Amino acid sequence: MKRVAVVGVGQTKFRTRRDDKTHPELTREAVSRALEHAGITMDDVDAFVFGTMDPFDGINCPDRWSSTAAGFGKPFMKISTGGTTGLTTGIAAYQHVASGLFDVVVAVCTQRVGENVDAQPVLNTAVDPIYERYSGVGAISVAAIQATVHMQKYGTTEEQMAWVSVKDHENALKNPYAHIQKRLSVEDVLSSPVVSSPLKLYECCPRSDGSVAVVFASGEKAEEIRDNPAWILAESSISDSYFVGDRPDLAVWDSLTIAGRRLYRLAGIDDPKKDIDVAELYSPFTIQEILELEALGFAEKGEGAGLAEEGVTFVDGDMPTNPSGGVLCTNPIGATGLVRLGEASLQVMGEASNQVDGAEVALAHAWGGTLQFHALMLVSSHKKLRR
Amino acid sequence: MKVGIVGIGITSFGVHKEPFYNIAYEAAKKALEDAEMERHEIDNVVLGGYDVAVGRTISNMYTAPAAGGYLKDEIRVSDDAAYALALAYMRIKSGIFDVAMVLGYGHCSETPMELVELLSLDPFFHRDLGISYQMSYAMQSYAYRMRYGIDDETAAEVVVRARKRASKYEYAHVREEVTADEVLSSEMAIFPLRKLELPPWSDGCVALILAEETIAKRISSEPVWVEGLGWHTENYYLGSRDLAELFSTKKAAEKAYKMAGCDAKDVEAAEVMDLTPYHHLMALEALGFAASGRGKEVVESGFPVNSSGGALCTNAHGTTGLFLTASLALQIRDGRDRGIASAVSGYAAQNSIVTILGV
Repeated sequence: MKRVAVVGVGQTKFRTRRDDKTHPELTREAVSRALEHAGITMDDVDAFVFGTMDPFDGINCPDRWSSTAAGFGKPFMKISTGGTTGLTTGIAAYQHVASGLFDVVVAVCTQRVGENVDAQPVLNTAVDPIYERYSGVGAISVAAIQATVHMQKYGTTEEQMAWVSVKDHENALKNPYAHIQKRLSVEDVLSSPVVSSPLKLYECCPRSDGSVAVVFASGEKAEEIRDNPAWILAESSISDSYFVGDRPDLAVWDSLTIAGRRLYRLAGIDDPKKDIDVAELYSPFTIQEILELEALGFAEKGEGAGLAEEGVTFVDGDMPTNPSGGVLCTNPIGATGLVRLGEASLQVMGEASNQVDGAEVALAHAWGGTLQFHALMLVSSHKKLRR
Repeated sequence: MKVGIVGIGITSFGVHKEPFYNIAYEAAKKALEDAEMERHEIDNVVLGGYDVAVGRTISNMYTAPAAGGYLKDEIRVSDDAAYALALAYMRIKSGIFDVAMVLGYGHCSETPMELVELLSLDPFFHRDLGISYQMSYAMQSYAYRMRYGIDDETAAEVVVRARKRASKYEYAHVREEVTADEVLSSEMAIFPLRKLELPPWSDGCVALILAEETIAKRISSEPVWVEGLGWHTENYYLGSRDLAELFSTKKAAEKAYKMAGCDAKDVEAAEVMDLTPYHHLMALEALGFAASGRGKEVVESGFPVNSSGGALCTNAHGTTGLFLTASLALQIRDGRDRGIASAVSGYAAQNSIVTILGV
């Protein structure tokens, strides 16, 4: 199989609204930074893959407009898969190069959640109009159910969840592109207003505007472009059944366990705790980082809750998680997954703003739908897994 | 390594009362039956279609399970599903996957398409103009007519022939034959397009199973090989484009021919996404079958174009291109050696994808 690597990453500053720039202008800002990071120009790019979740931008198929900034005059493909969009856009771009059809491909995701009065009613239109829509199901409500079930089954406490937020917010202070940059204490989190019980305001992500671009190159090109490419070891996606009510147990994320196992098998990972140095997980709600760490084998079931409190997931801990500040501090929904890949890549390049010492293997994750989809990518500073 | 189509499932096209995911299931099931395969033999699902054309956000939430995606690797292209076929091709060609279910969906009866498409206009330059999707195609038609002196009768003849072919194609949506007089006397819809020169809004799904060469040969004694692919995007701003030609189709075709190592003269059949009769002619020119302005000569020559009836008779927004590709694959199974299919998307055919299939 052809080797492919990430050779450039570019992000815009994320904010609640980016009224200073149009959709294509945001796209261009991220793409220009990614190309600059890779030290290449638009002429070197063979194709673009664009990701966004249409209903959030106040414009349908914004890719058509945004292609004026990235892709026009070239092959251009649009990916949209829900919350996983960012990462599946990266996966599609990777596959463009891996197929041998293209040498240099840019994945770019732009999202303007600020165009919505509220994102949750938009998400609610994704669920079935007969069975689930009127229950108000959206991202926050399903996460709240996950939290409730996890607390009930494993005794997870509100303080433990609050520590996840404290950790992410501490990390975001070092990330110049992060949306929310504010130091929080456990007390601050616990005393913030309840959004969907038991989740409180500081346990929930913001809605962000912004763009991210990642440059993929074939092995040969990647080595020409930079000394420290982030090699893609493996990727994996999974689709579960449609109804949230059909999940066997909301206290565990079993579909992520399956996707993770497939990823590890492809990459030759025996023990994720040892083999993976840092993870950028899609956890817009504190409880989800806990569930994800457990599902991906970084903690035993029911034992993920203590990791932040014990310092394990802090940047200097044994399993640094979301050193960028994560989704809890920045969430441009359809672009978020690609931010995870960009940040994971920067970690193994040794160029992250909140660098984990000696990071060689990094995991990027995104989930989407109503807990229906997962996407995973594993990048490394080496072409193959080294143990 | 080659990649071949080993299963074809096409539902009836028209107005379906059932939810779109049931139609998607039907297409996927038909494709599996056609390939004599079980769901578990598929290792990934590639979907194609628009949320706006089915009235649901994240529409792959519904179509992924319907396409057999339960606990499988799945991705979705939010464009005409002809792009999904290209992505599936790359996923297999790279060696990452072996067998893909490609499923395209469109369910236009779910939503007021003309109105919803207005929302894809950017808010600064185009939205206030209120240009509908069809209006952009009418503008192209007008520009083409004027530049090359194409008359009403030529356009009407394209419709007459399309309807005639659709009448014999079981999957087509509009299958009633019409005469040139009926076309020419039908109500003026959007100048210069008359009502009978506009495509319908259809509901329906198409599923194709793609497999890596060695596996394809085990599944099928006659796989239809994907020989060439090319796609291209033009400038979004209508005012910055030459509307009298399908530039994106032309560029996409160049790439597809290069990949297949052939040109128009090596092709025995074509399926083009003719959202108007003028686009039928423009597409034939862009694909290299005739010089600019002379597409009508291809029509008169009797060269097999749109045996399916084309987009003029079947247009499920989001899967029209894949419907044409699947229809072409059926023709290759029936004995043609090589064919070409072109699809367009966006206002005034901003995007194009061209697929070459062969034996």
